[in-house]
Amino acid sequence: MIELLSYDFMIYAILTAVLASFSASLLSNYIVLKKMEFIGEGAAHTAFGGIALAILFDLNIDLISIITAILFGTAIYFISKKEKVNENSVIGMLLSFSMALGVIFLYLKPGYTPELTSYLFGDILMVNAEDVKILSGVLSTIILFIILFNKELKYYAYNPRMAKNFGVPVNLISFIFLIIVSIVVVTSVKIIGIILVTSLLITPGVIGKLFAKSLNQMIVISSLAGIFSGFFGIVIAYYLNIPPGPSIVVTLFSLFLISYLIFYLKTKVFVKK
Amino acid sequence: MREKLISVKDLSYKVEDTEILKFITFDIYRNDFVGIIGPNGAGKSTLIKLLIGEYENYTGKIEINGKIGYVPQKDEYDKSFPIRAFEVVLMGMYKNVGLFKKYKKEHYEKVMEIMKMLGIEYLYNRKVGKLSGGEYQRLSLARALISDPDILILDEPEAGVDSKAQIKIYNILEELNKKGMTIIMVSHDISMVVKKANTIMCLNKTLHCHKNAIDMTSEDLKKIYSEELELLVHINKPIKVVSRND
Repeated sequence: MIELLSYDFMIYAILTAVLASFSASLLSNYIVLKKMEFIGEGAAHTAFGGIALAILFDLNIDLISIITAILFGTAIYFISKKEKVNENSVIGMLLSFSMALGVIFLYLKPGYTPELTSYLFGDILMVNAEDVKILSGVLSTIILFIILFNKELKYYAYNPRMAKNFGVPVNLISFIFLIIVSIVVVTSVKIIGIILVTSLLITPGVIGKLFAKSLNQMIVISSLAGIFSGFFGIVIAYYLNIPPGPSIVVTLFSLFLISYLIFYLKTKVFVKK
Repeated sequence: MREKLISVKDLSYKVEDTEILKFITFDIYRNDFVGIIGPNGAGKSTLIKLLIGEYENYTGKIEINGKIGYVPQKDEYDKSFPIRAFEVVLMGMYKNVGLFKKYKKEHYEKVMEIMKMLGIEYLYNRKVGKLSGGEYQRLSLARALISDPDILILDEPEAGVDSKAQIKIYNILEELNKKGMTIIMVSHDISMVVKKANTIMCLNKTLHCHKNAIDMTSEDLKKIYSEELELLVHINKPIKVVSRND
């Protein structure tokens, strides 16, 4: 273990994985409670278009994917505000549109595109001190957002219609939330991968919901699950020489299975006695 | 002179090309207990949503002079949502607190006070998913009452609750009205409405009657219901509505 921390790249990998997992776990609570699990998948696949565009024109990938994320969040917010088009329909359309553009861009790029699989499944070697800084900024923003808008986020997730009736600025919360989710997704894809980042935006929240009596308890439980999986996922990926994304996701899902078993025994078996 | 709290004039509301409400005019005064009755699709819930400001783009005039507390027909919520009863009631005081501020001790005390008044203080810390329909309905009532409204608006408070819980709710409403609360209630339970409310509005797209409950007749019901209904009266007081088809 000590040997593992003697390499700079491993320190960056562990830090980015923990920061990304922690950030996504915090958001997963609201995503699970609001039943908007599709959003992470949409943002991640949409980011693919942005990444491919940046590769084609040799642009800054971080910058382009963050812009893509903000455009994605804004588009969902405004199109789905009109009740005729459902939020999930918008996500589904944008997701495939951006994937399609991504594939076209990559076909147009002459020669080999080595970064692609790294973006799909994450890559320990792809992250550096810059990513640690970006993800620290993202995590701090999310924590601040949750502290400042704690009660608003709770009522927004619980019943947005009633919350609006009682004066909660639901539209503002919804807009900021969509943008933050999109940014977390695009900043996490280097370490976790486009295909797998969705898992971090769902599973920790599901685990938290099994045991929590209050939303704040749920936030604590899901964060612990996320941080644990981020850290051990990277350690396992290093020792087994596999991409970090799948390793984090398998760790997280195992944690879910154990949690579900405990929950099942607690509610079904022990209660009956 | 009695204080006018709500004044509606020539109110019409359309969704695309479908007319939901047509030229509705009425006034509601302080301490009124108004029952709005009408068949399915009559526009009762729409009228309420216009009064509370949830629906816009209407024509005509709506003037509200006072604070409204609203109890919806049924809260759409996830039974496994980790939120406790007192947190739901606190939602009703959101406007008093606003953005970036926390609820204070006095707010929590007020939640307890209202829950005690409605006989549900034992639910204070319970997860809402564990409440029965009747308990949740009283919780919604607590949430509406906590902001000290002048007018309490309820959309079918009897929906989804057993008859015992329904009677409890109606008794609470009667008590509140005696203490001076203005109440507007939409209901399918015509018998209960004509018994408890002092003013009845018969609605079916437009207002077919707006009169004292004791002046209601079977003829009034005939105007809005296709079913043959008869209003039974005892010593000049309406007591029950029965269907002639039964």
